[in-house]
Amino acid sequence: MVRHILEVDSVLYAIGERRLLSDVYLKCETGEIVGLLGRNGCGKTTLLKIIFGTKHTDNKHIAIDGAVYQKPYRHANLLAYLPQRDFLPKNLTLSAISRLYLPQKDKQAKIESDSRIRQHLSKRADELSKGELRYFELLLLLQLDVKFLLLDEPFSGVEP
Amino acid sequence: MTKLKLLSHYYRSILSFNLPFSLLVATLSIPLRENGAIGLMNTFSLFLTTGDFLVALYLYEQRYSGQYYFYHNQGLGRVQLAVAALVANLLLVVLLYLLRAILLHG
Repeated sequence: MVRHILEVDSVLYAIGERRLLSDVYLKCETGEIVGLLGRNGCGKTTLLKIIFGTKHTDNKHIAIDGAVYQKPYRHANLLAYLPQRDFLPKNLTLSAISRLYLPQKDKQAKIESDSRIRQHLSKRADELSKGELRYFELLLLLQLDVKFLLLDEPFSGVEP
Repeated sequence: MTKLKLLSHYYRSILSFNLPFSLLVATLSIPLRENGAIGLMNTFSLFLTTGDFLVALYLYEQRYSGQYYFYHNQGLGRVQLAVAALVANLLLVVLLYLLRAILLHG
């Protein structure tokens, strides 16, 4: 397995006078699972968005394999992010989403053969339960060719 | 190819707001204009690429802001999406004017 390193350093983020994140350091390597624990509102989601590059902050250092990125999500095959809220379009069936998102036939087949998803392929995202949708979103992102996956409450509502 | 398909999907979503508003404004402006169908097309084209386009972006933001991550995960940013949608609108307008020129001048 090729080894990649994600390094996050010197993250500062404030909302008005309230300093939400200060001097955050995080390092993760291929094969590792790093969990972020903290109370509600302490900035876990904000940190993930800053790492992904969709939330602006004046001070941050995001490096992948030694290369520094301001907006890592704009570069191919670096990061994917599963947000807390639903992110799939409601006007497409799961089968159409899978075909649109994953050009590789083998990856589409992986999704379409999944025992929990198979029966829902002709349904739209808004016809699924919260847990079913979450499972599908996770499954979809796991098929992307990225070095690191940022998951925000990935198992919320998913049955064991 | 995936990015192109995603841009097309985003554009269709924006158009679902943009098109009805532009048609509505163009239709409402008919009594104010003297040159009939041509005036209608001019107003439609103007609003499709300016005010109503901004309204469509705003409404999409209000209603589907979470869906931006659908595109972000494939490397597409908000500005890139908006610029692509605007370019597609401009192409649509050019197409309309070409069609009008062909119909008027044979």
